[in-house]
Amino acid sequence: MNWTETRNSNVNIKNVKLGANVTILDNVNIEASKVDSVQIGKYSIIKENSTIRLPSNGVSNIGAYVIIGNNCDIRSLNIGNRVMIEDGCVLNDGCVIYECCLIKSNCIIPSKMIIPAYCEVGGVPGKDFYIKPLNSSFKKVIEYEAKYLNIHY
Amino acid sequence: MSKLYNDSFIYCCTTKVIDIHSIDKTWLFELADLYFCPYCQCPKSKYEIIPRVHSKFCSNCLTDYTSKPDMMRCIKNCFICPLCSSSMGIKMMDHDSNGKSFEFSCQFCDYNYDTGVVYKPKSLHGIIEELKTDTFIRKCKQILKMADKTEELSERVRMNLKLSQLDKKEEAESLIDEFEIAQYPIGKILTLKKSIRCSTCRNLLLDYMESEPTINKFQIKFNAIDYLPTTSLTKLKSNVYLLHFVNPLDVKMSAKISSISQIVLSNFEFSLGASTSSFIKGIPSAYLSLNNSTAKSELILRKGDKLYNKIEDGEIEENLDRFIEVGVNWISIPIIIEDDSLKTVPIYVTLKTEQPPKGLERVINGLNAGYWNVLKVPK
Repeated sequence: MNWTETRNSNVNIKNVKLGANVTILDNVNIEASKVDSVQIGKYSIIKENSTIRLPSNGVSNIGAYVIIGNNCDIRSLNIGNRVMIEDGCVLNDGCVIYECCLIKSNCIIPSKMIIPAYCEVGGVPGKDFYIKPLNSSFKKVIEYEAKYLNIHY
Repeated sequence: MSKLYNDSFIYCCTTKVIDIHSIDKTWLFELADLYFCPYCQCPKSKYEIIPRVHSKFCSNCLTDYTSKPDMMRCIKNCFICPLCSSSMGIKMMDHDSNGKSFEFSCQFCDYNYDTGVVYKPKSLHGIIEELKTDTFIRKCKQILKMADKTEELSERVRMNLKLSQLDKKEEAESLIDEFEIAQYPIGKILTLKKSIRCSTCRNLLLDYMESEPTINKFQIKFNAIDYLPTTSLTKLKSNVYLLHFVNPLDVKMSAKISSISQIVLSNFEFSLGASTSSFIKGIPSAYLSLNNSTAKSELILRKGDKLYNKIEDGEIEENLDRFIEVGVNWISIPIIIEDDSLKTVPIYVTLKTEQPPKGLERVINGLNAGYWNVLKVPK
């Protein structure tokens, strides 16, 4: 563990490998059963009331400059660098998110789904689920946002 | 200072002149969604570019389909649910005399599909194609056959006439009810990597370095966010707002702004310094929070004792120039919005640089651009 900033209440982080400048806010629960089974890259931020659980097969890897919003339930296998997950998202068991993706609020990503790089994802499967291309500018935008949130909270 | 949620839009349309009293939202784009053509020296929206497929691949199995221009779906064993588009799990079961059956199950909803026992080796797509025997598919195939045969043209015309007479939705639905429509697993839609050209000068604005699905490096990248300043508006007091400009370039930039009569601007012309490697130095003071120790120490360094001074009523209106704040690569200008009903502020921004920005030395001598920036008034 290099450095982490947490607030003073109800944060459960055990067996987690954290990169530099990771921010974890209130009531975040990271359920990691084995040592280093959850890895979080630098400048990532996990906002309030979010849960990170291990996928059914393997470890959970969260890249650098990843923003996880409030009330999210993450059970993904891999989240690439510079990914923005807005509030209330559910990432089901074993899904993979490649680099530079924007997951819109209250989106549900089904199990084992692979989201390619530079994509915007939103909606609920069977209802209004969509995957559309994202401008390459978002690489810079999401990195800026993660760095800004690091000095905001 | 969020670049993602900052209520600042750029009017980007070369064919239609902006009407500042009723701005057409179709042509308003966030800075992050725009490209910048260094040859035309103006931002380019998705309607002013020419995309071309650079490569295409299946994001599930990473098979490259670039050499197959007609294919839009993966032909390998990557299937999605016809109801919810989730990935499908496939189970294979062995039967007597070398028979095999395949069971598709959706990872998200309750959808299931069983192929039954298959004896001849075939691709999964081929097996599903053979099993498509419901009345709707049969009718479709029949219509397709009829299209090729002139002797059965009258039948085709009769069916088309029947369809054209259906003007009510209920009637159309009743016709669909006549058919049995089954749902089959479908191949995963391919992911495209697109190179982008300017529709005016045809120069490349975005191009990938490699067609490898997992490598996403760009050879050419002209995004507006790298060339045009980030603009935002924050509320200072009642009808006084702060207009922030942040320079993304590594060279000094001079800017000129003009707006509508309901807005009192303290400064029309200003210069912005080159961007800095220090992240915190490049953030306007209005966006630094006192809750964070790093941001607080930076604020104290910038403002000193004035940090906790209260602004008295009418103080800003009397001397707007005193409240202009200049940073390394940013400026915050106080503006007064006299009309309370105003929801958006249109500002015309003219930019000029004496030197070419990094990477554009061979293309231009200096940046010289002008565009309309529309900002939402914060409540």
